[in-house]
Amino acid sequence: MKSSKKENFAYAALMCFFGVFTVYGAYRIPSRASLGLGADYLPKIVGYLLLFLSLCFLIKALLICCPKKATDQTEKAEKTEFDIKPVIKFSATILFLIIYVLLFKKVGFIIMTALYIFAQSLLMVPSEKRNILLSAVLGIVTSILLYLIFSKGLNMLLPNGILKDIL
Amino acid sequence: MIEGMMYILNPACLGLMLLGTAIGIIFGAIPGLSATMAVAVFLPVTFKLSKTLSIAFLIALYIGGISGGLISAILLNIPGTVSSVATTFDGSPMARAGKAGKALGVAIFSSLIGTVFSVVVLMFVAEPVATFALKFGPLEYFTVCLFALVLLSSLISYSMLKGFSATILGLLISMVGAAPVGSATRFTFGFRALNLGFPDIPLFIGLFAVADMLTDTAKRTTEHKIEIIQDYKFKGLGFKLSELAGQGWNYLRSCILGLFIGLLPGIGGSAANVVAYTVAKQRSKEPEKFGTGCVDGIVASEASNNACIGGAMIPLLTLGIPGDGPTAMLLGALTIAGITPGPMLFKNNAPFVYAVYTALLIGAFMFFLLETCGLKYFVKILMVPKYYLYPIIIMMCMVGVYGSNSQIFDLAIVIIFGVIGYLFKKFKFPITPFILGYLLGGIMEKYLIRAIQYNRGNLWAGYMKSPISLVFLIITVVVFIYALIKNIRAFVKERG
Repeated sequence: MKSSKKENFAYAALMCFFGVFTVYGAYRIPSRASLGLGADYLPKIVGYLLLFLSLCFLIKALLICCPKKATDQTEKAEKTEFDIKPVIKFSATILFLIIYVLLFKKVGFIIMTALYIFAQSLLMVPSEKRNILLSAVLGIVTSILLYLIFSKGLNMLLPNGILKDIL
Repeated sequence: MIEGMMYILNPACLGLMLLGTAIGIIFGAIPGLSATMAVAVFLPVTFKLSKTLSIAFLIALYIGGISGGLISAILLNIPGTVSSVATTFDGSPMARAGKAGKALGVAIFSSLIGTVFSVVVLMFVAEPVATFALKFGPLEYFTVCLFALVLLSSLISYSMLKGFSATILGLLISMVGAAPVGSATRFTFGFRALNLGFPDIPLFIGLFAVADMLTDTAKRTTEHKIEIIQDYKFKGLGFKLSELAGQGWNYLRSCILGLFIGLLPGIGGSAANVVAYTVAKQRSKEPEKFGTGCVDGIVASEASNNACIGGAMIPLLTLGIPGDGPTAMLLGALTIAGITPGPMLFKNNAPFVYAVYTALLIGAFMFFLLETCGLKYFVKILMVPKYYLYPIIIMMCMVGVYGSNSQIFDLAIVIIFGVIGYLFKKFKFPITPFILGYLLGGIMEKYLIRAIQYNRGNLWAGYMKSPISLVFLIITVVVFIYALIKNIRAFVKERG
């Protein structure tokens, strides 16, 4: 898998960022060292290694010849054609997960899990196969089943949330 | 010996072990749950049982839990446990090519071989092997860890730089939290929840399960239409024994590696499957086939991770030192049962020791039978469309993650590492060196600092005094130089 000049410059910048961050953080760690070996010892080594890797990526980027011309038509076509749908689906997935975690304790496991499965499955199902009823039933049944197995069967503590008076 | 065997070979005990194996498989197969969790959850249940029954049940959970990880590793490309990470590399591609039965059959059979091998070794060489392991000091442990990391990073065929970058980033992640030396907290940014570092299970769930789902959602719409067609036949084990021709050395090597790594406390079975896989790839005449659905890869991973079972039991029984998480729980069970593991156990309570050996062997065959008979049902999971399966799996993972600690923070870790895992996949950075760096980072640091302290700052003098460490160090350097030259040649050829 060949990487381009641009990609290697980006990796060099990324490793440099992590390296600087780690070295800076390492020098702020209270050492409490004996023989020079404290809590800051390995972080410093790791930080300098990251900076070294950054240098290696930079050298690689400089040594790579001119970026190859887009003679590959497929590659050229892929680069110019931008599809917004995957970006929306990706962002929505992250959003669903964040909402799930934020409301998990307040609303409760059963409701949030049902809602998440419903929403996520609808998002992922191709439009021609979308079935709202199926997704809803799947969400509710799975959620209740998981609750029964893990909470009642295995005695795991799962938040009841707004259903706490019922469960 | 007969007395010990008869403790196990009765209907009540066998029935309990069958139940334990089945539950263990479920725990092992569900990402987010683990063998350690299975043993921990059911430990209180065993208080009312006799010591033999309780240990037999927990051993069944242990074996089922370690072995069950292969199911999701192959069918879902998500390792059920960290012991099955390497099984995903070839098991999943094989399943996606419509050979899920073969992949599962080979993996189950290899698990059986690994377990039986390690238990037989346990029976015959427990004491002498434990005595040898006692000679391992901090320098030896550190060098073995270094060897594992360099080996893995160097063998990333497409980019050694990316391999080492992933490893070092894994080390960085492992340093978050309380330092093993000096007790300072590092890189926590004031988050108290990070004082103990990133928790294992949420991190792995994020890197595998969530990252996989995110990768799927980020695909172009047309790619969703590609689904696996399960139109294949299988009989018996799901594969022909002739398909394992030529795997003898792979089995032997992987079992020995797994046994040895399982024997060393602190390193654990999580590294064994990856190391064995890497070695198998390096030793193979066709290394390019690894990662495409190669039988060798599955054999190496599953034989080694199950060989860790017997390996981890050796220090537990002979020294009272657990080899991994589940054996740490077993140690608790032994203590509660009034049994003190150690060299005197073999003298004062030999029947119990033979009962443990019998339980391990029976557990291995029980797992083999349960999974072989249920193979066709397990494979049917692949028929369920991914877009319905993924959300359910993610929720099962979330239950497992929350259930172990009841911390919302753990759920947040799942999402964060899901995004990190997705980025790794997108920019083609390998995940495995990252995980190994994370797993071994804390151990390496602890042992490195101790080694330097023991040798009064002169590590090289330590290597001169320790032939074991020196040999591992030399091998590490040789592997690194070899891989570096290979990568440079490939780069020059690419340019030219």
